[in-house]
Amino acid sequence: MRIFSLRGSMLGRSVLYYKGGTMKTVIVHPEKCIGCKHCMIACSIEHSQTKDLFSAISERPLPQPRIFVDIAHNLASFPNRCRHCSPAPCLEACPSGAIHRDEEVESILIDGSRCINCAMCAMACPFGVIRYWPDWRLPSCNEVALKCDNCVERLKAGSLPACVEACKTGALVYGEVNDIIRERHLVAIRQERIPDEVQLWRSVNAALA
Amino acid sequence: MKDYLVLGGSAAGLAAAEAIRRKSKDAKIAIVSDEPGRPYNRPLLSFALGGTTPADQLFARPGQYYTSWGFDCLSGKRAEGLDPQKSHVVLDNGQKVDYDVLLVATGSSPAPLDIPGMNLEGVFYFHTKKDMNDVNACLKDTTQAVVIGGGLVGIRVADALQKRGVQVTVLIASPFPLSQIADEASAVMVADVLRARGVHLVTRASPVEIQGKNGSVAGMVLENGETIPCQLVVVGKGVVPNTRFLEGSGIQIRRGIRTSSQLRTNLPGVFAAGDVVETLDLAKGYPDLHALWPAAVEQGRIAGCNMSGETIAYHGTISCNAIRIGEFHMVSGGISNPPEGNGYQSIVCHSPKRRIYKKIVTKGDRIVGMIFVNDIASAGVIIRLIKQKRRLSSVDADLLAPRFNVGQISLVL
Ligand SMILES: Cc1cc2nc3c(=O)[nH]c(=O)nc-3n(C[C@H](O)[C@H](O)[C@H](O)COP(=O)(O)OP(=O)(O)OC[C@H]3O[C@@H](n4cnc5c(N)ncnc54)[C@H](O)[C@@H]3O)c2cc1C
Ligand code: SF4
Repeated sequence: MRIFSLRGSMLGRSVLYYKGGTMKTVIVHPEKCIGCKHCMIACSIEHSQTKDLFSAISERPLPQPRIFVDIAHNLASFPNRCRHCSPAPCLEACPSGAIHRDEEVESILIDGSRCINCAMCAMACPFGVIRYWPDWRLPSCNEVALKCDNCVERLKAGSLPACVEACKTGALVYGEVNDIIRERHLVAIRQERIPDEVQLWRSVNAALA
Repeated sequence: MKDYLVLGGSAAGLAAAEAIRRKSKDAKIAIVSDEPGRPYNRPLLSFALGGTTPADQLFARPGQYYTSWGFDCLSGKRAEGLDPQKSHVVLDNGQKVDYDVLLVATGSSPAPLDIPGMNLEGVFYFHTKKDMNDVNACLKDTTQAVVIGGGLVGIRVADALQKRGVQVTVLIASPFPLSQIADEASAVMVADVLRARGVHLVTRASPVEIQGKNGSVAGMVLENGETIPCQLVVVGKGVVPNTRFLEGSGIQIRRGIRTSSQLRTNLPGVFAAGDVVETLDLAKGYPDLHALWPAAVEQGRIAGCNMSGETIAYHGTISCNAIRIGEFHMVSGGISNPPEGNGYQSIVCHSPKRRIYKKIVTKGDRIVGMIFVNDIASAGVIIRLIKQKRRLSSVDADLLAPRFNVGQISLVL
């Protein structure tokens, strides 16, 4: 097995945020992404009120994706999504305790009802995946911080995250970190540099363990 | 078994005490805090005043916090002196508390304002839960308020008061609000938003006297002779580190307590963390004060580890802040408004129609500062570039493009 830990070619890879033990997560293979944006649509629909494409487009507030397919430095398309970092910079920065970790599915979640829309999390997120938008689940439909929730409801019900289900090219896969690394055809997993603060907090946690 | 003593029970002090406890189940840990009661989250105070944060969400820790962690809490007591030779701290009631390892995490206090009338009923600083409660209690008799200071705290308090139905005037010494974190263009946008919401701003204003009537605030007199009638005055002129009680202890202080990368002071067994210290500013390249909650927590945690015998280095931080007023968002970080020349360059993308303003400040091949207004999604990516001191092969306007994303800087990250 060969894992490049180049400073150079590093793209969206959740693997590195794995902190030990077994863990299932969405792993992004940008080289397989063809930029069709099916994941963005599936994500928007999954987080809409009606969960149906045709009625979702007329909903207010308009459903928003939590995964973003954009053009990367090599002009290839690049699916950008919350890495559910461990420890998570947004969680550390949130003053109101709206951000927490769901241990069962290893996901960083935002509780909109506690969010005061202060924008501290966007300032802290090293990947730029937090947006602000009215949330229909709240009684007054306030604008709050929104980001990928790993489709926890679906995961807990035993199905795949919506973006993974929608991705037909294998650019987004959900699986056990270890298994995936072991797979032969995924030998060349390029790694993404861990944000400095995440690395520092890990050494603090290791010291305290 | 070592005796640990922590001065200050807020962001930095509690993070350190918790780290010490996680390292040692039975260490003796005492916390001296002159603020009585359950620990709370200071940055939420203005949100609580404005009604966004319910009072019970202000708390940073669960009830029974001190006993559940096994901390010995000397609540409502002030540290008045430190004797490093005898390894003890003297409290305001004369009590001497011995330590083997000490953390100074006494934070900061509002910079004092010295004008006549400061002792009138209805004049407050805005730094503690008590201040917030006092301002809140004063609101029932208030229709007009004056906020002195156009910094983050002043602007947030003004916005909160306006939300509570008070007619607010903000007195700003500089030509623009938020002069510490914004540049002229973004400050103008802040000012416009505030004015549109009904907040009255007076720039280049200096207050000379608070007028009273029957012991209570009645008006604010400005240098130009103008008097603004008001029943409430909130002073927010920045903060100063709480180091006064350390005078004579031999601890090295410049603007804040000087610390090594392991957050040790020059005195043996004495550490310091939070608003009270100077730590390396990664954008400026020299140690500076940073009044930031997440930085205080991070420093506290690392100091706590090192007090327990670890050797973890704190790398420093940059000043960065986010502010939101209604629909308006702004994130600013590092050297956002550099002095003319000195090798700084600014790349700006301003679209008044879409009310978007983005600026990146570079020096050589490094990004050292940023301001993003109303399109803040990738602000954290830029802040990461500043903190990591990444050399950029070509710093260009792409970083400001609406579609800019972390994938585009992977090459240099
Ligand atoms: C209104 C307001 C809004 C803010 N908003 C933000 C924000 O949005 N984002 C952000 O990052 N930061 C914000 N800050 C700054 C942030 O609150 C501070 O950086 C943080 O609280 C620093 O934590 P600390 O533990 O170092 O000190 P502090 O929180 O200042 O706590 C120090 C404690 O020590 C006590 N103490 C002081 N002297 C003594 C003594 N001699 N003996 C015993 N006890 C003593 C004090 O009473 C206090 O309880 C805000 C601050 C204020 C006031
Ligand atoms: S915007 Fe909401 S989730 Fe983000 S830091 Fe602020 S309170 Fe927390």
